[in-house]
Amino acid sequence: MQAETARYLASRLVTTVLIVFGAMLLLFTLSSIVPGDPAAILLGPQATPEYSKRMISEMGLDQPIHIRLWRFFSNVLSGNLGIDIVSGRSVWSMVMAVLPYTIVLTFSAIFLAVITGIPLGIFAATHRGSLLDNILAFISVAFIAVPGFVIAIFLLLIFAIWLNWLPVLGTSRTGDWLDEFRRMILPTIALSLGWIGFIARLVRTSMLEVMGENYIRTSRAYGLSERLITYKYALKNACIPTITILGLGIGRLLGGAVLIEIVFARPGLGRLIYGAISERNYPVVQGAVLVVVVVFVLVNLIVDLSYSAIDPRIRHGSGAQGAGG
Amino acid sequence: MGNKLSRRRVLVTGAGVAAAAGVGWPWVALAQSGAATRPLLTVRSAADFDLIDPAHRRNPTDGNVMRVVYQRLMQPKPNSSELELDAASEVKQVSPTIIDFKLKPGQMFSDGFGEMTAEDVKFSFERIGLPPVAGAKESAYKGDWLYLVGVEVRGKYDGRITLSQPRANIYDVVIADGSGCIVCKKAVEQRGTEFGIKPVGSGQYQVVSLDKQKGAVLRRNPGYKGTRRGAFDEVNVRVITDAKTTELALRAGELDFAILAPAAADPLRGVSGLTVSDQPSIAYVWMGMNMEKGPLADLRVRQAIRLGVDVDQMLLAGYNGKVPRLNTALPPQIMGHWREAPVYKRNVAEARSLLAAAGQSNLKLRLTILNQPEYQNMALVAKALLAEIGVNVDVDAQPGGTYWSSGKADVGKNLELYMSRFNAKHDPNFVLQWFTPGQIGEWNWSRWNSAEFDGLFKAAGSETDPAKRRAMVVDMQRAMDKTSAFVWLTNEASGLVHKSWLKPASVPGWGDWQYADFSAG
Amino acid sequence: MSVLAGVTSTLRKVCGTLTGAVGFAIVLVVMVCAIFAPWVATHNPDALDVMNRFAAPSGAHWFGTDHLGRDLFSRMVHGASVAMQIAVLAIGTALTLGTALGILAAYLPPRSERFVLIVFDVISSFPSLVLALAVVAVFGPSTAIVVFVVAITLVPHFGRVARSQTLTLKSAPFLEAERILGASWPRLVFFHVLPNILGPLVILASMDIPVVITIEAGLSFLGLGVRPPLASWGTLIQDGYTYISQTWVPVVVSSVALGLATLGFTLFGEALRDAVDPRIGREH
Repeated sequence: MQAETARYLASRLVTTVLIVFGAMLLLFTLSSIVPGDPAAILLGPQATPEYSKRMISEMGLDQPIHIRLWRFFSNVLSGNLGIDIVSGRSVWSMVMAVLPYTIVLTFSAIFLAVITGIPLGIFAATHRGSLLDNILAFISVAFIAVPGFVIAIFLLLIFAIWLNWLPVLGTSRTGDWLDEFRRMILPTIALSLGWIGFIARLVRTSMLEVMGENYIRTSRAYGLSERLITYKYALKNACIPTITILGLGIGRLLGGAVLIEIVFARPGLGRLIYGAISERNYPVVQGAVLVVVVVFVLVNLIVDLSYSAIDPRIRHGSGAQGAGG
Repeated sequence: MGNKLSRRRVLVTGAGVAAAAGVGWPWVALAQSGAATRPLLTVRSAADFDLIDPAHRRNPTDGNVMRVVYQRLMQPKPNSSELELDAASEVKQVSPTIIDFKLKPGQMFSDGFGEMTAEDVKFSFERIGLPPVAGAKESAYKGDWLYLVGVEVRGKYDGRITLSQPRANIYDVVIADGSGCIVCKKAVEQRGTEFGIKPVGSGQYQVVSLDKQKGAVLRRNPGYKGTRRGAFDEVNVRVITDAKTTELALRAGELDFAILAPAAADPLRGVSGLTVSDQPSIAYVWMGMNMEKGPLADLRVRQAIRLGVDVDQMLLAGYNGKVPRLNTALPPQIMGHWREAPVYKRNVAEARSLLAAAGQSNLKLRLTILNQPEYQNMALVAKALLAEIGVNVDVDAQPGGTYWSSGKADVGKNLELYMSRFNAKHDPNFVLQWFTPGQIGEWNWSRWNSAEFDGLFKAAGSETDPAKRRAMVVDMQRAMDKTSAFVWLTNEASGLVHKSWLKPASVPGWGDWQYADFSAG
Repeated sequence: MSVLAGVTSTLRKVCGTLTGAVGFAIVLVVMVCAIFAPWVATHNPDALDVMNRFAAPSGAHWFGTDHLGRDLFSRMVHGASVAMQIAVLAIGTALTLGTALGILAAYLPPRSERFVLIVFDVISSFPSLVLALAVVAVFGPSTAIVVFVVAITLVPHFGRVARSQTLTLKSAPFLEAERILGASWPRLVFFHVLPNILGPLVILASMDIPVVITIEAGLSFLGLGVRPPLASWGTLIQDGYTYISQTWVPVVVSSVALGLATLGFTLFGEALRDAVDPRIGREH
């Protein structure tokens, strides 16, 4: 078993590297066909043709793709994510400056979604068909349906303006813990509502599937208490798709909470990438996307590896969920 | 321009620049020193920071902070575009191409970097205007110091600026503006690329922290020796890109001051504790036509298009009617503004007959715009209006990255109709430079090739007699009008929203906010 | 059992539950609006009337007018049409491509299978925002671009499910029997594999319709959505949000429309799956 696990791990790591490489290849290909002159965008009329040419050559855009890829990865392996041509600072420091904000928001949102969504899902599954189940269905789907930025503005209007309970701006000037926490409440709620709805539906469905399974019926026949069945078996198995989704979610949110970040004026990796692409600031785009891709892939690797801890029936490589999530 | 570049004129109080002609400025400049100090001022900035460094600054956000962190030889007075001395005790125009200056002694840089000397001035100007030395990056603002030969140090506090040609706008646009900021030579050499985020200057404030996407915290610089001390101990510049968020923050009292589009500022009028006012800007927004492309090369077609749109209706849709109409390239506040410019009214019949005369009955044209609401709305109205004269317009809204390159190089040859907006400065040459033949393939998106315009432009650039210069500038605008390739729209307006106890200060219409002159009334 | 009888019996099961019935009703309304938009709408959705902007709801304009004086009700109805077009095209493309790749992956030797899975993961891990921005930058914003971006993002989603379904099916006795009897590979796939895995995939697809609509709304917020003056729910929400201080009607109405549509499709999809999936059918 040990050798098999080790082999599996090694093969997954190789796959991970290939995925990262594939994603960066895609990015570099896109960046070579995307039009737009970085100097013109950054400086407007101030940019002379010489300045534009210099900027393009500093960004390495006049080189063919394989050379750029080679240079990029050799830099990364020596710990250098690139230099922002515009400000002269290292991309690593720029990413590190905003990463804490993104991580804190992402994990808070997922945490809130889990502690709210799972109980709701269990409740809906155990009370299937009741009025409450139907109401929860409507609410969950409403949360999923309405776009994040619309939720955000309604939250702001209600809680920040009308009730005046919470602040508008998502980060604090002073860096004081309590202030930062207060300012994080609305963005976290806005970001997590969709996930709460989604997890609630997912848990409900998974539990209903499992509860109809043979081994559950057998357990019931043997007289095990309903409660035990629910929480020990059904829930445990309902967790698997939930964990998959969470794995995907963490990866996605790291690069994708742009709308929330814009509305609440919070720094974030999503905004960094969005801004950098709009400005055609390629070194920053490359470095930041690499970070997002690597985190996504690593998180999913951890998720996949944790499957076997939860359900020994899932064999590596041929299980119902499939290798690679 | 009021400067007389005569030999022996000593500029002690600063040149009398023809300020806002007929544009009312609502506030009177307030006294600074002696006014009560308040702990904190929170202002909004719409764009993110890049570098607080005159040579490598990027946008007005950088600029506003730059001007309170560094001193200049001269600076605009509070709420005025008139100049007064700042770091210099004397600035003398010795000849049309030579300017002597004398620094005030004892002006100290922050962070213990010592006293300002003429060496620092030489370093500051030459690093922008002259080719870079020893691996330094070339400055994007090199053009500001055009014709600079060098700065000669003649004493600890004395120096001489030498130009190769006279420049009418050297004081307003260069010496008293961003590219005239004086940095500490030792600090730049020591801090290298870090200098832009940890700047060292001698101005009223110093940068305590600078976070991208978040903001900057400025604290009072105890070493500042000037008279305009700043009423606030701390200035927090918050970066908020979304206009809606800004509005909500103002309502919640989290911001003291912000600029919004007039339509966005309007709803805040009723909020108690906030004051809203409209201030005309000196941007210039227009719809242009590529004079080299297909049917647009025919003057009659361009005239028809100009007569087919209704500018007032477009402004109503784009800006809620809150902006003034512009009829020529130069906004009214700028010297040389052509007051008698024709105001074109929509005339469907004449437009149709012009098109018929040109033999074009079912034109299909593409209108390229930046994908922001104002332009989208104006474009849609233009599309509906032009449909009535038989021109079928396809609106192509591009995001920023692609838009700003759509008129350049080879791509620019395919441009048909477009809408554009540039920021101006109080100098007609600055405004009109983008329409010269040399800018075709760069920023002359209409691809207007006029030797006459070019000649007038060069002459006006060195003309020292204001009356003659004004006449040349008006002729340039007349020539532009004759081409019918530019449908002028507006010079925009800004909605100023601030707490009622706050009195902001800025160079009128320029968008250069003077944080050190904000005061609590 | 004939296809028609199968469909009607499934529908009856779906409408048996409250949520299913509500979902089905909403889906029906949306589809009618989408297909018959020019007849359901009261005005031309692109007709400008700048002097009459931000009008309140009235007899002439049921939901009022927007910032350019266009009738909001008509724009919403046409928005349903656009949303459905994008959803159907994007999901259809992703479903086809994803299923093909998924089945292929299930039958390929391990190395090639791994390659396909890596491609799936590359697409999943790549920030869709970057893809959207890049594609819009090259080709300009348009409905086709939105469809393209959404379809690419959904391919791994369908691909993985198709693959795991096919894998489960591969070892089924009846397939083995067919193979022994000499059935060719294409025949196996099209007549035996596909019909059996299509069920879950179609249900998954119906539940993805709201996801697609929401993605389009997000893209419109960033200015990357469909070309103006086309009315999509995303652009309606974005416009309403921009001018919310002038009037709250547009943003509320379009958000509610989006919410209801998503609700309808999700409930319908879930009821469909409940009706079809034998495991859930058993009451506990």
